[in-house]
Amino acid sequence: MNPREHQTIEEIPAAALLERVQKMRSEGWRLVHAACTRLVADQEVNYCFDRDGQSLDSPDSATLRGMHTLRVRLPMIDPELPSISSFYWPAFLYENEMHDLFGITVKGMAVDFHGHLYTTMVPTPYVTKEPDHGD
Amino acid sequence: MGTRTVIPFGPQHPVLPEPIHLDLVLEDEKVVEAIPKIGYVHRGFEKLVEKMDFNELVYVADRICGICAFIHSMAYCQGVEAVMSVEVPPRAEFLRTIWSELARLSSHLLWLGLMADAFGFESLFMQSFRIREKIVDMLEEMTGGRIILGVCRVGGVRRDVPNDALADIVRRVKDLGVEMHRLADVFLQDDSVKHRLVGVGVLIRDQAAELGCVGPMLRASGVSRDTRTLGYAAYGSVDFAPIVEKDGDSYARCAVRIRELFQSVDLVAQAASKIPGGEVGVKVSGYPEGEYHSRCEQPRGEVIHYVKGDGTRYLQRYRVRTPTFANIPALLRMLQGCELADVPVLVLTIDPCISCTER
Repeated sequence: MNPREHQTIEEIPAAALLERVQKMRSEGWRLVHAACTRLVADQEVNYCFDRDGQSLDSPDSATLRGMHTLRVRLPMIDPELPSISSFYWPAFLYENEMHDLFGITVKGMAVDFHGHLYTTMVPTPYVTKEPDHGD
Repeated sequence: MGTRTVIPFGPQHPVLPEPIHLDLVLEDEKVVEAIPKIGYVHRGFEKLVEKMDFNELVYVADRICGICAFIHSMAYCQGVEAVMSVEVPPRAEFLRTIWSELARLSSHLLWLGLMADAFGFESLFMQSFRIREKIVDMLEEMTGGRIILGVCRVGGVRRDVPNDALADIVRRVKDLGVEMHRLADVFLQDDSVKHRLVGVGVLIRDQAAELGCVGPMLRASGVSRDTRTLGYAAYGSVDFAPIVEKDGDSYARCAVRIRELFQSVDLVAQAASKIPGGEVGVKVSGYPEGEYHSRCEQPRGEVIHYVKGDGTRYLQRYRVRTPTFANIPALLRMLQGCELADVPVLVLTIDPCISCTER
């Protein structure tokens, strides 16, 4: 009964990110959120977009429900990305978070807090260890 | 250009029920820039995926926040259920919908009370909390919990509610609707309330959309977007249309939340009248493998629970994007150019939930 959304993932190189995001923007997609996931050998950054049928440009496009994710893989050492905040201004908050918590250098952020968005007792970015499941 | 002064706002501040820090750069009494700092109560919940298996993590999701606890656990469970292709029984979906709407009532009444307190209307604050208390009592009767309900689980819900008890809840919620009308009249008609809210912190329609606003913040600016229209839980089986206001100011945001109170009463009644019989949960076997972005409409707007499993008991990644986090860019923009005296009202107007943001 619970309708699950159609969710797609498109993996792209970091160099193609801006061009692809610009296209998403021109097609009327909304940035839902962006987040980093650390894996074993590398890490991935997901930019999620949706066009839920109620966007400003296409109020009747109900068939377009779903979420599309652009995925960029980055190395663990010296990860670097261009900022997408020139296309989606609020992205600066996600990008500052990625910088502070995951140590990713994001170039050209619309608002750069220079590592001062997160002030935690444990210094950030957090050091990744192999997960200890406590079994 | 006047002399610039930096005033720290928070993390402890009389108007803030939870700690957030803003550095306000002022020229005379005008705010020219606001710089947020978060992390004061950062708990690292997402890291717990390494220690707790995907079933235990429901308890963590339930405890992300004390205001929107139930919807967090529901969003998390929906994510895991999508990854594991679990079909939840219809009765459980309807119960989830009823509890979600009661949680929304509780949250909006809490916000109204805090807002009244912020602009110095103590009796209105007391009335809001008095009505909210009755909602919390109902939640306790149905689930055993007043704030952290702990009834959601992967595959359904932990408790059933008999149909006659549901009918009684509907009767009592409708009775509360009469009291809420009296409350709404003061919030929407009283001159002293209007004086503090009308024309303050205006976001026009395009601005709200551009700034990535969600929830009542967005709908108060005329954008009809509500995650419930996706039809998750039992929202596809009830008549529902997003509440929208046009003016985009603090008063409009207040009006959206007040109208949503009555909408929630209606949704509880609809769901209770249509709830089917049957089981409230299914047995779940195996471990999650795959990923899904689950989203629900919190009282503050769209929440995202991203789950990624690799076929083991432990999730590989769990990420929560809360509505307050999404509304921070809009808050920063609204604060630019406002009077210092309006800062508390503007901060409250996004209905900030810091414990969500500091997940």
